[in-house]
Amino acid sequence: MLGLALVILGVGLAVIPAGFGSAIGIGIVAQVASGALSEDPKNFPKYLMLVALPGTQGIYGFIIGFLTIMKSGLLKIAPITMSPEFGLQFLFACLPVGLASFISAIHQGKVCAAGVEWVSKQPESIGQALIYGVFVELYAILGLLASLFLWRGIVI
Amino acid sequence: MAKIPLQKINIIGILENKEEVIIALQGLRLVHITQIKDVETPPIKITSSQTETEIQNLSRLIDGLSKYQEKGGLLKGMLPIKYIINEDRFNETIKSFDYKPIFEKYQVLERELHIINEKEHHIRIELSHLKNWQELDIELKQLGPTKQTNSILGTIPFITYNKLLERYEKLGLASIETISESRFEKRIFICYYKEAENEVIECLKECNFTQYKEYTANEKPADIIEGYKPALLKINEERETILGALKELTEYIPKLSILYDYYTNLSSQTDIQRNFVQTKSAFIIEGWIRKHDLAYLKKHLGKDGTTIELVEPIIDEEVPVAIENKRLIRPFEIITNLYGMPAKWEIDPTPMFVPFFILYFAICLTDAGYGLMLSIFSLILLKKFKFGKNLLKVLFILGIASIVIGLLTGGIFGIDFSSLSDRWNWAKNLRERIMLFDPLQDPILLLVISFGLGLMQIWFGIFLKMLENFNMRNFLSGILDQGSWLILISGGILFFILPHNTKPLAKGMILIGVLIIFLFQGRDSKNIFVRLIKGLYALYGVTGIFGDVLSYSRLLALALSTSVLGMIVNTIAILFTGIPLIGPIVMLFILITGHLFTLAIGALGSFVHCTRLQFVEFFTKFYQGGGNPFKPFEKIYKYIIIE
Repeated sequence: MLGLALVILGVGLAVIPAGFGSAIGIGIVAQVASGALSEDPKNFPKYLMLVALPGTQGIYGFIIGFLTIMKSGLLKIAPITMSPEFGLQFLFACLPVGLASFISAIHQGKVCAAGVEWVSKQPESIGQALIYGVFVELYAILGLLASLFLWRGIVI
Repeated sequence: MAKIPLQKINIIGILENKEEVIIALQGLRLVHITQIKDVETPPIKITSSQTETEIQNLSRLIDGLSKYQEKGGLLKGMLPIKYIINEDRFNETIKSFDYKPIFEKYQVLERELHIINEKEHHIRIELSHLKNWQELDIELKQLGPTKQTNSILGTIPFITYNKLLERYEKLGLASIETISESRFEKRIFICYYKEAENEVIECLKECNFTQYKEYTANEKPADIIEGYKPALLKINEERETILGALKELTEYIPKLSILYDYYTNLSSQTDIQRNFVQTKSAFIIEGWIRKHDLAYLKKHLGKDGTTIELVEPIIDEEVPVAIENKRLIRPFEIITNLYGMPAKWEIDPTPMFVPFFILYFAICLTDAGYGLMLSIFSLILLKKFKFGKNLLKVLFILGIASIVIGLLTGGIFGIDFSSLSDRWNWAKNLRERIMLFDPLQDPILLLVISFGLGLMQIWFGIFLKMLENFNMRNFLSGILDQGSWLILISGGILFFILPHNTKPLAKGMILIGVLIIFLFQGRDSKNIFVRLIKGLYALYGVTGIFGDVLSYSRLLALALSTSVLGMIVNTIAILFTGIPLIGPIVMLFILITGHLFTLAIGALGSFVHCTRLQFVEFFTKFYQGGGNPFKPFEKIYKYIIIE
């Protein structure tokens, strides 16, 4: 019982902060982009890419969450017995991606928002603004890799 | 491949022929005209103000009217529209189309629209006030002073209303009635004896009472509100008519665009003269041309006394750079353009990074199905749209590469082959035979491959820098600064790869590399201690290389995330097969939207991350950019494309 509850908590800790981060990050960029578009509607496709960029971290969290759901047997809708130790293992494995994605996505949102302001004044800089945007993401990626290898290593 | 040799030229002509020469140059599109930043040269008279006005008017008109254009669907709305015009239509339009009546009509309509909107705005403000007093059942005119009393309307916050009630007894006000309430305030009617006016007013002030002062109307508020309804309807009708008229005007937008581009190019013909040097009877244009275009230029320009003189560039002069690559590589120049053109002494980086870029992207996308979709989409868009061609070509090539790598890694739309029924054994076997390994089963292998590819690219970058040094005859610098690192890295790789008996070779290489760096990195300093400390510091750069290699782990991360996402989409879709009737439909919907979504996110992420790898880990080793791009003088079309 406790084991399964810990697994579920782990999935939450992977998905929720990552989702928060992406939501906040995308929200920041979308607000700035809306303001910029109200004055000059031309750049919509360029801003679209900047707005979408912080979204990837939420997906990383979801990936780990879903993989955990699969590995723990929750997908099969049948009773599961799991010891608290395994539950804890899954729980801790989920932490890297969730927390790293949270912070990384928010800051990526801030960078991309500044990128929108940049592109609004110099539309040809869209490529450079995107590149700045992905710098922050490296750490969410490392979090994903860490969680991934930890998840992989758990043998039930 | 790489940089095209350019020739600096002076075009000298007689003043009378100036216009012809300019038009010819614009049509030939061969000459990059040097921008003169020297303020001393007397400026030539710039564009005639009339052309400027036309351009401004047309620009305003086109932007204004495009708001009323019908949005042709979500996709079209997102892409910039260019009109494809054939030459006859172009010439006919500039000869016979007069935009001025349209411009005037547009201005009139806009003004009318503005007036109507203002009217409506005023009405709505008044309505919003009146709404508060809807329940009042006396005519507003009846309010105000009588012989002994005065009655007023106003709003008061809930909090202070009770305070008012308390004083009510004390002051003997005639009557307080609540007309209506909102969440925070009450709207009340107060009638009081004039003798008590001063106290009343003070009390009301203390209680934050705000008076509503519009007492002039003859009717009750509810009636006034009703009275406005026909007026508002009429306003809406008028507005519809105006909008309809504006929409009709939008059919002129293509013609207006033709005029706009025509006038812009006309004005650029005048503007370019800013860069000419003019004397009483002649003018001189300084510019650049591709060496192999020189003969053609001479043939077409060398009449009526116009001569072309070959010039040697000054040593420190900012020379424009033009690059040209083979057909497969050329579309990727858009990525190089993002970073910057090569400087005078640098090589064209495009053919250097393209193979790496294609490979990395394919690894990140890791799915033959997605690669197929990508290629098909870009092919379709290429046929449909005449612009953005380079990007689409790049995507097409990347898609094909992804198909190959996808097959090699067994990824096809994220399908989990091990869970398929025996019916599909033929597919499973086929996949097994083509596949090299499955990243989902063996991510460590892919991680090592990513690191290996990264190390290779970093090594190659340093190698290119060494070649650049050799090119500039800096042999010593090349060997000591770059060669040392090359030996060190190669030694490191060999140490891990090679079997035991050759390990001493690897160790030796590492040692040589370390020694050279340690001893010679600081060779500028005369002081031996400073020199060695600089050498130590340079050795610390090894951590930089570690960081760079680590950065390539994103290849694995992206590969896994795309594969797993695809797998998740399939897993979720399969959950619906049990449900009768709508089950298969929902499943199909999830499959299509899910995979499209994964493709979009995967392609965007992979593209940006792979570009970032080129720029930050690769380019920084040997390339600075910042070159001046070669831009021949030509006609520029903002809105149209001439067939």
